[in-house]
Order: sequence, then structure tokens, then C-alpha cells
Amino acid sequence: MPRPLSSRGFSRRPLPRAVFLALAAAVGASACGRGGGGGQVTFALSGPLQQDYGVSTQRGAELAVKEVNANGGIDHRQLVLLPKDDGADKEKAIAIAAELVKDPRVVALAGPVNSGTTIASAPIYNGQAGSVKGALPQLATTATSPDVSRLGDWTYRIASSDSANAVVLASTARQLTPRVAVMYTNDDYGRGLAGAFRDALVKGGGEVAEYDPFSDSTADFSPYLRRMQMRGVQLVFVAGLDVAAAAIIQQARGLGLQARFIGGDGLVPLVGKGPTYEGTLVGLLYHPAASDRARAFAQAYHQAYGADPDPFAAAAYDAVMLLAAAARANGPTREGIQRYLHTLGQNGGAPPFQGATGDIKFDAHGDPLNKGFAVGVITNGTIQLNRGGTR
Amino acid sequence: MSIREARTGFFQSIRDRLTYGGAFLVFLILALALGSLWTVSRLTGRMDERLGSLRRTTEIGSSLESLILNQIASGERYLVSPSPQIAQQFADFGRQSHEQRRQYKDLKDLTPAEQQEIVKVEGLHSRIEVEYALAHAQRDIGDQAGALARVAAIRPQTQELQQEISKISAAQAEKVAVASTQLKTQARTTEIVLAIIGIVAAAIAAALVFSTIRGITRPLHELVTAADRLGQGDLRVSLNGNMTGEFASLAGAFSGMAVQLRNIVGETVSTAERIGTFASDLSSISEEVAASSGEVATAMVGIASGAETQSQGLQATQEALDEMKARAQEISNASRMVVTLTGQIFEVATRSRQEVSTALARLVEIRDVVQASANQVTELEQTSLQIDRFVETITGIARQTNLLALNAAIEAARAGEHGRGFAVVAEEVRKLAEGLARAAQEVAQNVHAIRSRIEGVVGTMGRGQEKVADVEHVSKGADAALEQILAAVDGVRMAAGQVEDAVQRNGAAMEGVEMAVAEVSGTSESHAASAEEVSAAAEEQSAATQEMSASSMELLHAAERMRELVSGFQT
Repeated sequence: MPRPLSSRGFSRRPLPRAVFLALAAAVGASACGRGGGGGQVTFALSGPLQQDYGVSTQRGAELAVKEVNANGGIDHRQLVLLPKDDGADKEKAIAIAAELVKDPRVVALAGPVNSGTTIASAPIYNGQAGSVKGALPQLATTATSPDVSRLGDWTYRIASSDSANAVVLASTARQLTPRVAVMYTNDDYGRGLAGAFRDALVKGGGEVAEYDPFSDSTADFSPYLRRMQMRGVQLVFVAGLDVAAAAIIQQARGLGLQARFIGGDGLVPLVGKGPTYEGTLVGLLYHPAASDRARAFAQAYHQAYGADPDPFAAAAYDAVMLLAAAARANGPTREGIQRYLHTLGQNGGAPPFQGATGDIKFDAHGDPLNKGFAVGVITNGTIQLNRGGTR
Repeated sequence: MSIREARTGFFQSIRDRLTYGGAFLVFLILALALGSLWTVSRLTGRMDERLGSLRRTTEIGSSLESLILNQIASGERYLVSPSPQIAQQFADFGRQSHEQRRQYKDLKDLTPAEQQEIVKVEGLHSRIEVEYALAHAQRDIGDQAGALARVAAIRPQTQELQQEISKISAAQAEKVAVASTQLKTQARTTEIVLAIIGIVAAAIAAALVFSTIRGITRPLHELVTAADRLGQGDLRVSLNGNMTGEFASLAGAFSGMAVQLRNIVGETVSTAERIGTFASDLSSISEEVAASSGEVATAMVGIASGAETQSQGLQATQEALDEMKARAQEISNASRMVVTLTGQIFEVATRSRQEVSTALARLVEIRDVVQASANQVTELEQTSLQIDRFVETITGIARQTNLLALNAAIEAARAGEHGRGFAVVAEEVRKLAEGLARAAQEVAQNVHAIRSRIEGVVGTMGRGQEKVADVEHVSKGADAALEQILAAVDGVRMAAGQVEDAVQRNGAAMEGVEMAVAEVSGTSESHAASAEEVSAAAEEQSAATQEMSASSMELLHAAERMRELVSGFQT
């Protein structure tokens, strides 16, 4: 999902002290555990591990590791997680990629979490950068940018592409009103999602009333919002992060614009921010009520951490479980895991992987094929599945 | 005479050495030629690739620049006279420039400087685009002053964006420099490898020629010495040492021939000695006969002394004659044996001559192989001339590229400020062309060096041919020596024939003596009185014995001559 090309959007939220300590302990523990060598299989995890959604990601991944080891590990070898904090920063992600590809213990990577870091580091994981020899299977968790589709044979992702999600969101929007204003954050994520939404909407007979870019430094959205008021816009699609969306919705309510808001999975965190955002429609990579497996994961997660899982945790959980299945089937080698992912759900390959986020098999670009993408409504501080929004 | 068996293995014979060594040499020289061709073509390919990538970056870079500037222009226009068309233009230019920038980021071999620039450009462009979009919204809701103030505030960023875009050109220039350095390094590495191959080829050629000459000269010298000694009649010829290939079989034939000649000559000498002994025995018996004949004549005077005495004398004569006959038979056998032996000598000598002829034929083959190798090397020389022509073509292309780059520089100068970036690129293209011309020149020099080495090899092979001709000459000398031996053997055979003749004539004379004795014996008893008759018969007998004595002498002489002939050989 997230696209943050920089960590700024998230760093505004202070990290709970307890979470930080737990994280430090987890990092320390796995750092001590990985020196063992022969008896262990090592997966790396890369993401902004000090952000809230990074913490969720690591919790989901560690829950999966725990379950794998409780079920005999990988051919009686302990599965070990090697977490790397990329801070959602492209340059850090590139440095981490170079380090992991050179590390012979690491046989696969769960992550990165963001689209920007996934795209920036992919040439290294695919062995296309001249400076680093070798390749490493890269299974991104919540990277949704359409650009992740064409990065190479060693790059896969759990989340469906924005271009696929945008089709579901556009169809939901069109059912409400044919005329929609689009606001997007002016980066690869925002442009990709907004463009796919606009194309799907127009193709389905809808009309784009406005197509307005904003940036991280945009504080005042009133010119756009007042123009929408003037033009009588009823529905606004926001392709951006929850922080910007929160400012937009607050300013709209302040100006008396009564339009409804719809957005991608980036808007999910609005759920806990108060009544202002009631009725906002959000795309969901994961919903606990979506399937039996989703419910089972939610239960296990709640048991382990005393909280409900978010899509980040679910995607990371699925990523580690899928990599473990690959290592069991083809042996814990980089080539074996890559071959498993490459043929998953196809003739001669393993059957589709049944994860908490849905059934996963990959198309030729490493994108999950025909994966469910749900639309939810923020209702009374929770997210309810929007009826008819799921494909 | 002992010859060590030639060791088995590929390079023992001169023919093998020349064939395999020459083939390897040809392979190395071919590798050298192909290596040069490959280097030139690879350098050309690399240059095409680099130039193509440069062209793509330049195209995308300039298209990105014009799209961004166009978008800002239409953003300004909208503020003056808003219309849906201009708004659409603004959005389209924006979308296209984002697309171009993404393509730029996808280009391979971007330098860190370029990557940094493109990230900076992306940040600035996104912000400027947002500000213009907000200004348009302000204009749409009637806040014209606010819109203009917003655009004025973003102007420093707009200027900065233009500067950053121009920095991308500078990054391209840096890339050209890096590419040209890499090409130079690659060219140098390949040159060193080719030079090493060249040196190895020259060393192998030298080793081949040296070992071949050595392999011919030493055995040749031994053979010459041995043939000379054989010609002088010394049959103790011994060919020692390690002979290679063809020389080993030649020396083997030579040694075998000498051994057999020595055996035969030894046997002939002992036979001649025996004949000599027989002849002197015969001579002394003849003298005895002559003496007894004299006695008969004397007895004739006192014939009356009785038939008893006469009869005894006759009997003694008869016995002596019998012994003489037996001896004559022995001589006859001995001389027949000589004839048989000389026949064998003749046969052996003839066979040796055939072997020498075979060896000679092999030498001619060697000469042909050397000739063929020389021809192949000459063909290589032709091939290197073709490489020369290819290098000329490359030089021509480089010159052409240089001219084009100059023209481009002139055009760029004419374009003024906008052409500045392109002028830098044109200058670098020109430098690359110069680099290529230099590389081609170096390849041409290498090829010249290779050709002079090939000429050296041709000269060396010529000298090898002369050596082979020497070998041929010596073999012919051996042939002539054998011919002399054959003539000597013929002389022996003739001498043996003469002995046989003498023995036969001796036999005839003896028969005459026998008849005369029989006559004497027949008449002595009944015609004791016919003393004249007896006297005449005795005279007749005396003449016959003298004749026999003479033929005995002749036989002795013949045996002596045979011994002389044979004693010419040292066994």
C-alpha cells in the first residue's frame, strides 16, 4: 500500500515508548540468534521498522516465524528473521539491498514495505546493478504502485497493484455518483493511483470533475475545495496518505463542503482519528472478516499482541508464510525460492498460496493475479466491509 | 653397430615436428589475426552502444526540458486567459514530462550525479506543478491577486529547476569521459593479450626451427662420416646416438648393410685363403709329378732294369694323379662357393641400395612438407594485408565521424545557448573518434610487426629447405658408395670365375697325363723294347705336367688376386 517516498508523512506520529522497547528487544534477539549458521534458515525483513506501520509489519512477520518454527521449522531447521530498518528511505533501502545480497546466510527478503523503496532497491535484488553480484528473491509486502510490476524476475509482491485496486475503487465511486473530483499527492504513488482511477472511471462512463495535485508541503487545500464547492462536487477521491487526507477532509468540513471522500488503503489509519472521517470509503488489502483464514490470523495476532492486525501485519505475515512454503518445497536456496514464486499457481508449479490477505498466484510481472481487494466504510470508529465492494 | 630405437612419440620424426609445429604456429598466427579483428569489431560495437545510450539520454533529457518549460509556459498563460484548452495543455505537458522522467530513470548506466540530479528535478517539478495548479484554482474562484502572488513566490524554484536540468547535460559529459576511459582501458588490455600471443608464437617458431635444424644437422654429420668411411672400405662403421625419425631408419639400413658386408667379406677372405693353400699344394704336387716324370725318363734309359720298377713308378704316378684330382675337385667346390657368396653380396648390396632410395624418397617428402608450410605462411602474409585494408576502413570511418562531430559542433554553436550541452557532447564524440583512429593505428602497427615476423619465419623455412637438400646430397653419396661396392663385388665374382676356369683346364691337362700314364702302362709290359716310344710318351707327359704346373700357378695367382681384393675391406 503505502507509497511514502519519504518517511515524513509518518514521522509526525510519535512512536509509543513501549513499542520502541519491544522492537529493540526483538532486533537484539534476532541479532544474537543469527550467528548459528548451519542449523538455521534466514529470511530478511526490510521496512520502516520504527514507524507504526513498520511495527505492524514486523509483528506480522514474527508471528509467521513463530508459527513456522512451531510446526517443525524448515526441514527441522529453525527459521530466523533478520530485520533491517530502511526508514522508508530509498538510499537506505539500496544500501540494505547491497548488504543482504552479499550476505550468504540470507535466502529471501520479505519486503520492502513501501513502493518507493521497493522500486529503488529492485535492480540490486534482481542482480542488475553492476556493483553487486548475485540476486535475492524480493517479496514486497504492501507496495502497490503500478511501477512495481515491471522490476524483474526476482521481485514479487503480496499486495495487488494500484492499477487493479483503482478499478475496484472506481466502480464503487461510480455507484455513488458519476462525477468525481480527484486529488492526488504529486509523487509516483499518487500519480499512479490517481491515473488508474481516472482511466477506470472514464472507461466506466464516469466524469472527472477536477484533477488536483498536492505535495507534502501543501498546507492549504482551500483553492481546490472552494472550486469544488463552486462546481457542486459530491464525491472526492484522495490518492494520498492519511495525514494529507485528514487535513483535506477537515478543511472541507470547515468550508462547509459536504462531499463524501473515498481513498485507497493509505486512508485506513483515519479510522481511529475521530468522527470527522465517518463515512469515508477506504480500500482494504486485508479485512479480518473477509475469509476464514483472515479471521484465524486476526485471532492469532490478537492473542500474541493484544491488538487487531492491520493490512501491513497481514501482508508481512503472508509474505513470510509464502517464503517458508517455498523454502520447504524447493529447499532453502535463493534459486529454489525464486523458482517456486515464479511458477506459483501455474502449470508445473505449486497451487495458489492461501494467505490471510487472499489467494496468491503471480502473473508474468510478479503481481498477484485476481486477488480480492475490499472496500470498507469508516463507521463508528471501525471499518465495516462495504457491501458489493469486493470483487 | 648399434642404433638406439627411436623413442615413440609425436615429435620424434622431422616430418611430424614440422607438420604439428607448423600447424600450431599457423593456429597461433590465425588467433592473433582473429584477435585483432575481434578487438576492432568489439571496440566499434562498444562505441555504437555508448553512443546509442548517449543519444537516448540526450533525447530524453532535451525532451524533458522542453516539456517542463512548456508546462510552466501554459501554466502562466492560464493565469492571463483561462480556458479549458490551456488547462488541458498544462495537464498533458505535466503527464508527459513525468513519463519522460520515468524513462530517464529507467535508463541503464546512469551515473550517481545523474541520479541525484533527476531526483532533485523531480522534487522541484512536482512542487512547481502543485503551486501552479493551486494558482489556477485560485484564479478559477476569482482570487486573481492570490494566484499571481503564489506564482511569484515559486519563481526562484522555477529558476533553480532550469539550472538543475542543465546540470543533467553536464552529467552526460562526465559519462562520455568515463565511457571513453573504459574503452581505452579495454583496448589496452586486449593489446597486451595479443602481444603476448605474438611473442609466444615467435618463440615457438624459433624453437621449432632450432630443433629441426639440430635434428637434421647432427645425424647428417654422423651419416656423412659413416658414408665416407664406408667409401674408403672401412666396414667397421658404427652409427651411435639418438637418431630421430627418418634418420633412424636410414641409419638402421646403413648399419645393417655394413654388418652383412663385413660378414660376407670375412667369409670370402677365409675361402680365398683356403684356395691359396690348395693351389700351392697343387703346385708342389705338380712339381712332384714333373720330378717323377723325369725319373720315368731316366728309368727309360735303364728300361731293361725291369718292368717291376716301371710298374711301381707308374703306380706312384697314378696315385699322385688321383690325389691331384681330389684337390682339383675341392678347388672347384671352393670357387663355386665364392660365386654363391658373391651372388649374396650382390643381392645385399642391391637391397641396401633400394633402402637408400626409399630414404631418399622420404627426404623428398620432407622437402615437400617444408615447401607446403612455407606456402601457408605466405598465405598468412596475404591475410595480414587484408587486416591492413580493414584497419584503413575503420580509420576512414573515424575520420568521417570526426568531421560529423565538427559539423555538429558548428551547428551547436549556431544554436547558441540551447546548443551548449550538445556542443559538449559533439566534442566528446569527436574525441571518441580520435580514440578509435588511434586504436586502429595501433592495430595497424601490430599487424605490420606480425608481418615482419612472418617474413622471418619464411626465411627460416628456406634455410630448412637447404638443409634438407644437403641431406639428399649425402644420401646420393651413400648411393654412389654402394655402387662402388657392387663393382668390387663384380670383380670378386670375375676372379672366382677365372679360378673355376683354371681348375677346369687343370682337369683337362690331368686327363691328358692320365691317358699318357695308361698308355705307358699298357705298352711298358708288352713293348719293353720300344724305348723311343716310351721316351716320347715321357716327353709328352713332361709337357703335360708343365702345362698343369703353369695352370696351378695361374690358379695361385687368381687366388692371390682375390685375397688382395677382399683385403681392401677392413673388417
